[in-house]
Amino acid sequence: MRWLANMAAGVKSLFQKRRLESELDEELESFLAASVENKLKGGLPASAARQAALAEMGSRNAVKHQVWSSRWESTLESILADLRISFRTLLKSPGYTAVALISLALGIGANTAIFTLINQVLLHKLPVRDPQQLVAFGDSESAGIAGGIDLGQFGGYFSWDFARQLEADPGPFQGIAAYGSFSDKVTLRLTADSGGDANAPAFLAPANLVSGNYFSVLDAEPLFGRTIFPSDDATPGTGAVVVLSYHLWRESLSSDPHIVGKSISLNGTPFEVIGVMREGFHGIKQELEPADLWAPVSMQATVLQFPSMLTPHSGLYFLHLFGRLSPNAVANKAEFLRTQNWLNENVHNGIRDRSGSAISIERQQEINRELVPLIPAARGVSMIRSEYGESLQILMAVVALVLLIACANLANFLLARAARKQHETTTRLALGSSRTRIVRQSLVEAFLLSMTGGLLGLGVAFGATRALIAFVSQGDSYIAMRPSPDLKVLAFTLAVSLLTGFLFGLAPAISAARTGARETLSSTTRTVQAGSGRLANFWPKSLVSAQVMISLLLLVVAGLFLRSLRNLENQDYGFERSHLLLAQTNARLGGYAPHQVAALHQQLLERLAAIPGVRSVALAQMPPISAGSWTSSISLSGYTPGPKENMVSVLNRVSGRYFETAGISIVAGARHLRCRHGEQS
Amino acid sequence: MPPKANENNTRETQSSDLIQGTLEMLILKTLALEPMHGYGVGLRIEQVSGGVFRVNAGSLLPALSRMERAGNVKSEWRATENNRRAKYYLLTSKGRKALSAETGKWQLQISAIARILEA
Repeated sequence: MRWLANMAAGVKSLFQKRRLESELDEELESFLAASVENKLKGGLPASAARQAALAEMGSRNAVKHQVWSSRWESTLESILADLRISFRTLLKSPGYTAVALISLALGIGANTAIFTLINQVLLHKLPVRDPQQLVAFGDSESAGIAGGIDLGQFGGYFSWDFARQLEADPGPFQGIAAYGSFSDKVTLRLTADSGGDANAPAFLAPANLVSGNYFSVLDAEPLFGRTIFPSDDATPGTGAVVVLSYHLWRESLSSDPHIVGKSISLNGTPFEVIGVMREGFHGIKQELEPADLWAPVSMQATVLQFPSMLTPHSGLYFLHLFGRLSPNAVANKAEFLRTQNWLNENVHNGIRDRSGSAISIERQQEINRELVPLIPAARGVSMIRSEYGESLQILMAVVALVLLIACANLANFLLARAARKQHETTTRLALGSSRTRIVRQSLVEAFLLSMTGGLLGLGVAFGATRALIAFVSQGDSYIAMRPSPDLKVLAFTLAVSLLTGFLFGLAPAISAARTGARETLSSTTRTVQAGSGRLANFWPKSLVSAQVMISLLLLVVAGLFLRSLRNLENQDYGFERSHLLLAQTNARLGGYAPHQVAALHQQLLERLAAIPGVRSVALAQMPPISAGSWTSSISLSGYTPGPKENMVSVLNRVSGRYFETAGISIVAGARHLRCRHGEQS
Repeated sequence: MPPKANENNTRETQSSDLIQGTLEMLILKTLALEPMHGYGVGLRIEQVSGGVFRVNAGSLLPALSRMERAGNVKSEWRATENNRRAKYYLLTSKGRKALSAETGKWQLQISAIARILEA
């Protein structure tokens, strides 16, 4: 506790400097008087005694300085003085200071911007308990409904009955839960209960289906209310409950504090709101457009507007699975392998069950080769990560190089200034300043520059991150990435600013420390000396060469990237991109029954074609270019595919004038399709 | 008997040769006998050491300041015999403990050096 009292005394003395100084003066006076008295007693005459006492003590100011320096607050005071001097010096040359600050702001800001994104995409852990225990079954990155495949293929597609089986008996896992592989947009309407009326406009939000034990396996606590229980998911078709995300609750429901228990219409069916999750929770699947509400898998038919897949041996695979490992399996490799083998065994048995009665030997071997790897999911399952992860890392390296160039530039500048200030430095050394003091002042100036640059860089980073996110999201209203910095990002900026200051402040500080060894205060020193020839020129020259080299490299790479980007944008994709308008319609969300759809399509085609300026209209299930696709294997009459030959093709449903409208040139065959609407074709 | 002021070539050890820790130990010992003001401490050290150690204000006062910060001594203004005001330093209980610890360490070092020199 002594240091606490010491600290308090130091702070007090900083503020009461004058009183302390007068006290010291008084003590020195009494010291002197006692010394004189002693000499008088020794037999010296009065005048000689005083002279001797004064000579013995030496300079009183020197003694006061010694006493003051023995205390810690003197260091603080001198640093504060250094700050004041540096501030004034920097203000005296505004041009140089402005250039330095701008280059620092850009360099540090770019680094912070990329780090903000990296923090969110690569580093951010799920806001649940012990996220390192979570593992996904397969990479779980694909999304959709698959048929005609085996359990666990294509990144971990599973069927409802298999998921139920594992949920009930998780084996060595603490728990296994399932969730829909994709979040579909559902139509939400506030009912009279939740504050809307009959004519309230509908809004869309992505909804994810989850198993009854999803929230308990994740161990995620709601903000208020409750999460989905296994009892909600017990029977297909029942359990019309929904958990909302914080974002949806705040944006579309005005943060209604009494929302729990109210009903909301989802795709026309009333669902009861049972809870709201905390801010930042978006489930285990980290998508660019994250899920805003969660409903039990039992309500699949309503939520997905797709016939129920919740029957045993349905042959439809649309769920992803994940599990929570036991603590033993996390630490112990052997235990982890045992868990992995348990899963593979269950998958094999599941495939065998679904393969009918007679299984050939090759098929048996094929089944036994199926592996569903356990992938650590502490940071969730993310397509963003695999899509953007590498690019972000490359960008990080690039902006780090940019910052290094800025540092080298500033170091060179400061070195030149230090050379010009040799005269001043030598004078100070001659007056008795310690070298530490001079080095410290040089470093303080560098840190002042870098910290101010860092502060400005935060502003630059905020703007740059927003621009990057806008570029990535391409206009989507809300995506999971946020431009605002959190604590980790701020700490990163601080560290980078300090490191930068150290990097470019070190060289001039060392050069300042070395002066005075051989210099003299003669008038010939007025010119900037090159010093000892080769060695003194080494640093400036090598810094400049390094800068030029790295700058050239970065410029060439940037130029190549821009070329590639331009080429990609102007690439020929096989359809006419100009003068083409795309619109998305969804008949079932609009409330049309299946038998009304044909007439709707006909009406759409006729009315759109009638608009002046429209050359041709067509309908298509998939637009000419899209992230998703409908694929299936096809069989051609008269052609037997070889063993294991890939007969999968990308398919599309289109209306008659599709190729003409999209400007797709047909290599061979008919140009117009004659379609019979209303018939299955 | 205090040495005369013009005795400068028979001075053997200057106060600047005293290591910082040793000076503090000597001050602690001096104050253990009775509270004194700054000059008195320096004078006592010089007298008892027979002129070997002469501590001037530039070393004494900073050392006393450090020890005060460390909590080994405390200071108060008192009147001297001549009714002048002077800052007296007193040993605290922490200082007493520090003194015995330092003395113990010192004896250890001294006997070790003696053994090496006699070997």
